[in-house]
Amino acid sequence: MIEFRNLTKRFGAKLALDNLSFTAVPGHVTGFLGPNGSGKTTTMRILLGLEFATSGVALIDGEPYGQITNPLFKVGALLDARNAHPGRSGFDHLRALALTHGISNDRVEFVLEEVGLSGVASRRVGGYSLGMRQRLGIAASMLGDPAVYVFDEPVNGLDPDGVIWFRELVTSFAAEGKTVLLSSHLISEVALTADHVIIVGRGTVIADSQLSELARVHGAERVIVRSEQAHELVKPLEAAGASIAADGGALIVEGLTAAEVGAQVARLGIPLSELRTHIESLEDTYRQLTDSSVEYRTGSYR
Amino acid sequence: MSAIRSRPAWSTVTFPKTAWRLVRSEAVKLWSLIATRGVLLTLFLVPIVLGAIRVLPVPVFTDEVIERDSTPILFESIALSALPMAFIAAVVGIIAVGSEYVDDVLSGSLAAVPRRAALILAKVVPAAALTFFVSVFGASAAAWIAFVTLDSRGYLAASLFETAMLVASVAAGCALFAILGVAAAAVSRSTVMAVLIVLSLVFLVSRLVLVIAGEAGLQLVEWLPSSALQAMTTHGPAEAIVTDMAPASSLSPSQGSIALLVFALGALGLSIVTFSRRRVHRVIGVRRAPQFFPLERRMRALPLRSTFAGVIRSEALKARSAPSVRWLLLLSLLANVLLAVQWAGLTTPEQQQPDPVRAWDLEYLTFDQSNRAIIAGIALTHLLIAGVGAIIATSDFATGAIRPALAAVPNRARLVLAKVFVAAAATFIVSAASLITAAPLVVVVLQHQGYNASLTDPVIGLSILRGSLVLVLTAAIGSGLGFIVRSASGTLLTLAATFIVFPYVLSWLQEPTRRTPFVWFANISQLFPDPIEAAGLHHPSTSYQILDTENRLHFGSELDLPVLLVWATATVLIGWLGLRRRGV
Repeated sequence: MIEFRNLTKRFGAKLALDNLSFTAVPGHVTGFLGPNGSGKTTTMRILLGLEFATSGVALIDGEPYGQITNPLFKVGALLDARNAHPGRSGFDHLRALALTHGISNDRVEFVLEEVGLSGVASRRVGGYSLGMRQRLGIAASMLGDPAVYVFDEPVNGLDPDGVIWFRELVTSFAAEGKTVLLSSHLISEVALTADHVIIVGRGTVIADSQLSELARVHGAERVIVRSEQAHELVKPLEAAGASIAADGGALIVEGLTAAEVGAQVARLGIPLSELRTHIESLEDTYRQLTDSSVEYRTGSYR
Repeated sequence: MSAIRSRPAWSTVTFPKTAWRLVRSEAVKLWSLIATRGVLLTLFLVPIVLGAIRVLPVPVFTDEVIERDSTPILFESIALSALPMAFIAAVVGIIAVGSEYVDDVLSGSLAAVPRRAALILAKVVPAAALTFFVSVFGASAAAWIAFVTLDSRGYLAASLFETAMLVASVAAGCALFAILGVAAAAVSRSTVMAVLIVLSLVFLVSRLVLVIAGEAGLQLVEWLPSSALQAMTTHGPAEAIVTDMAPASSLSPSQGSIALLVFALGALGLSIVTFSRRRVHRVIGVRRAPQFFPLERRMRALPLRSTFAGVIRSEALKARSAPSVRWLLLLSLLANVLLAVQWAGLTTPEQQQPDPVRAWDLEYLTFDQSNRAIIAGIALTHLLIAGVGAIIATSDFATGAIRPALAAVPNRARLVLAKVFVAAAATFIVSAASLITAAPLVVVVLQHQGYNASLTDPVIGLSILRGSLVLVLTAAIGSGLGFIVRSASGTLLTLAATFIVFPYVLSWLQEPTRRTPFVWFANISQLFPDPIEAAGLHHPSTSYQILDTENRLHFGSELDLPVLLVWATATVLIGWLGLRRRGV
């Protein structure tokens, strides 16, 4: 289990993390989303003891990273594809990591096989493509067969096969009851992989829920009602607590579920030509949520 | 997650093994780098080459009257290599820690070993052990060559035990310097800074202490690494290998060993404390980056096409936005002013000349002292300035930004010239400003000390000009070499090796190899540039022989500046040719 409690981090005048709290639980893939500069990487670096929080704690199974006796057996982390020295071979990179925990060369060869790098293990990392370096980083995280995985932008540079492979790998980790925290700015990737989503913006958590509930919780679920007598529905539905926008012959109802709308309509006896629930995609929800917290906004092109 | 869960079958986790595992891991990391192997090979070859040059010219003795002791020559041939070897060993230490500063490697290492002190301590062992054993082999091979050579020429053999002790002390010196290298790299955030620290520690601190503390500094200097190493490796009856860098140490070999050991371990301790408290990552956005835009706006608008002026401006912007360049230039500025004033206040005319000082003597001493005081800082700043040149030339290579740079300026010559120009111009502004600031201060202090100094004296202006010119040429050499070596720390190491280490050792070899063909190898020492000497003004010297009757080459001080100029031109030219031919 990964826990962040009231994490605050200041870099001089800049507040990078602002009272950030969330938990990633075993058996689930927790997606960690946010715009560039929203504090994702800082959060993960604090979790791994590479950066120190101004206040608050980051715990793995109740312990800060620095107090874990054999960290590779407990946490597997891929922070940056550039964690391997370009002058070393992939095998030597992993062997050096493995030796710190007394992990055998067999295991090194096994994880290399697992990520599909066996053929190039003796080549220098400097000659690897970004995707190969990501695979090497994933291999490094698997060395100690840990129960907690932390991945920062893991699919950067992976080819389509690699992306699918990684998705299956992470899902299988979760199925084995392991904890997976996965940051990404590829929303579609998170939507396919994660079952729990944390969205951060400007250093605070702005959404923390199951992927399936995210849209409803954050008002991104709407009911669309189409009828010849649509105008007659406005007042009763508003009285039931909905906010309504008209779109041609259709009403877009927010705040009520389709079942509630249907019950109201049935009571009034108005014939409908359409009644359906529209759930925004994760991408829409994400954009709506982070709109006010984007750090580096794209300028309009002149 | 129980303890059993975190101990898979294929691991053997027991606490006492932890330290050993870390050491093995660091040994793999160090040995797997090609740079390490190259440096270790050099460490092995240097004593053999230098020892052979020392011992091969020894004449054959056919007379049976005197039995000659081979010990002094044998010991000299081993001890001669001690300083170059120690320097190379320090590089191994720098690589051990510096390789963590490449990309984001350190984060990965710290994720596996969160205890930073353990990481650094684990690095010390393979670095020290590798350098120790390689230098034992190298020095033993040199000793063996010296032994068979001297034996064949009729000398009495030296004691095997004493020879072994000398070899061991050379190797121990190397191991301690490797620890110093580890400490320097752990203290600094980059390899460039580590190299600068080691260079100043080994070569410059002695000079600086002498400048700042005068005679009192002599006692202090003896305990510093390079002198301690000299003491450690000077085993009687051999004489100390005296170089320009430090005077002969009066310490005994064991005192020297203790001094070096204490220094290395102290430095290591300090560096671990610093390393443990430091951020892994340099953080962007702690302070607002300096804004250059207003300055840019004031400049005349350039025509909308690729011009040389535009390339220069672009390179100037790149150079100004590199913090290391700003720091090095600021340090040079301060060092030039402070050391000049310090030097000026060091002596009085009476101290310089025991005889009564006459008017002519005073004039001569004033000329000499004014010049030396104004250029005193160059002893330190020439390396910093070479570093500036190296960083400006290599920063694009280090980050891969050279590709977009060449995409924007496909003309290699333009890019090289623009970078060299920016390095030279920045250096000129800083050195001229610092020396002009120093001049009135120096004159005031000199007058107070009893010299006949005056600001209108031509020697003042000439010293400022010559000092600035020398630093500009040094910057050009730094950037020219930078284009060849393509890494800032590599450039600085090359500079130190070719400008400081080998010239001194080789010039020392001129004496024992005179009258033999080997002297030509030692004569190479005269062809290396020496910015410190080149900055000095000298009265036209009386005629002397460039090549004396014993085949020794001597370049007088008036040749120092031309040699520097040739080096600057040649390195920039070779750098440009290299960039044209090699891929990036």
